[in-house]
Amino acid sequence: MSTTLLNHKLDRAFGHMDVDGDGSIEREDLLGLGARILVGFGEAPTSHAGSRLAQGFEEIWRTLAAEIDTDGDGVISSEEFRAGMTSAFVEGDRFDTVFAPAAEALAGLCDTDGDGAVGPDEFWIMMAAFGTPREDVRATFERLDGDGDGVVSVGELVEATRQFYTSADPDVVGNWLFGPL
Amino acid sequence: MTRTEVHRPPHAVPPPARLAERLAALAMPCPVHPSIHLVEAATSDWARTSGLDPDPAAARLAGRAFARCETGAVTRLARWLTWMSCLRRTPEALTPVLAVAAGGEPGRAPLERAFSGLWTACAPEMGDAWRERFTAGLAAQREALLSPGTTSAGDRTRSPVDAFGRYLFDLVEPCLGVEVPAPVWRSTHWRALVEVSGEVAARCEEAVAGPGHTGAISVERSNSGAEEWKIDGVATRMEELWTAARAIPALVERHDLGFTAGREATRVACAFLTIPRAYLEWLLETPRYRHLA
Repeated sequence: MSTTLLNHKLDRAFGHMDVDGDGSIEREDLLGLGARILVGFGEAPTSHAGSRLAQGFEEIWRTLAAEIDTDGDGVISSEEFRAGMTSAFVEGDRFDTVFAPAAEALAGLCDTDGDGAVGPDEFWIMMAAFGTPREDVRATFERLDGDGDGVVSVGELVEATRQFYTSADPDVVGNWLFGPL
Repeated sequence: MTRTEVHRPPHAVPPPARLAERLAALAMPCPVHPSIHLVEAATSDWARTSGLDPDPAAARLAGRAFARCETGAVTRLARWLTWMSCLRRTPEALTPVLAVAAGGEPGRAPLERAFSGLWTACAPEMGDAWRERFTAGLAAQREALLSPGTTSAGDRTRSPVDAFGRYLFDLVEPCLGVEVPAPVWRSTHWRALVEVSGEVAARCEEAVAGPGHTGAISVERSNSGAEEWKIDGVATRMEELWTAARAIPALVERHDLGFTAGREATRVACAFLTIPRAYLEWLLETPRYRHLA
């Protein structure tokens, strides 16, 4: 088990929200990430798919804030984020109840035609919202598309998400979710 | 099937219900800010102090448009919407209001004095380009409301959004404390986003009001066909709204604006995606249309 690898991934995840790089995030930062995703897919936060995602992100923030923001200032540092993600979703049992619904909502948004598969264009929209460089997106997609049929299933995308945020195994494909580490 | 095509309900269903059934994006409950009661109370206090009629529905519209934003942003928007609501009843006040926006002293009228306070609170934080956009929207509304049948020589075609109040969309930026970069708001896609979001809201009002309503969009149809035509119009424009929104991330990337500027633009765009739904909910909450809900 490599906690170094997992911490490295959690630091990357923190960077997806800390867009000004000041070393702290607030609720608005996580919701800002949600807004980038929704706008990328042209989805209103009030639609069924949009509200699922917004609600999912809200629940993640609530869980993290309750877990670690003991002084109640609404600000989470990178160290606190790492600790909170680990205690709630890696060592704790709240991935399935809190994180997975958001991951499923996100994968569902990517599956624009509802056929259970995500194509490279939809995958790029999602990756752009997280700030993944365009040149990394294609390589990432090819890794996730294990059978080379040109699409990634929604189930595979959710599993890759789980692996990225919770797995310390250096060999899982989900480590590549947001490009090379 | 597009995202707007849920199914076509029978004509006997009232227009608001048919809109919601027809449009998947309008069918979900519209969330409201968790501190909406605090926002309503604070906005009513501000309205009374300013000599304006308190308008709880305006505060709720702000609470729906900014359902997940911080309370201060919702309160700022609620004050502006309360002012807008009063202005729509007395559009002739737009002339002195424009003079205040140009640096003049407000007169004694509550609408002018309230505008002066709101303007002083938000305009200094924004750039010249934003102030020009905002005042151009006020001027367009004055022209659309006070001389609806004519356009000045050489003027562009008047849009339904002019009568609706284009500046409502410009207000999203100071209320959220951000400013959309010029290459974005000058783009065709962004202008389409504003135009279509405003037009969908205006069309929702037409559709909810039903036959006989004469609003920003002229309808030369028989009553029986007009309702369906209006609802079709909303559905078509919603598709255009989503298409315009989808172009924004690529636009930000193409102009190499950076992640922070991109985030600010998408927060505003996300509000534009929300406003039509929030506005429909507001229409159904106002006493005028409550019997239709």
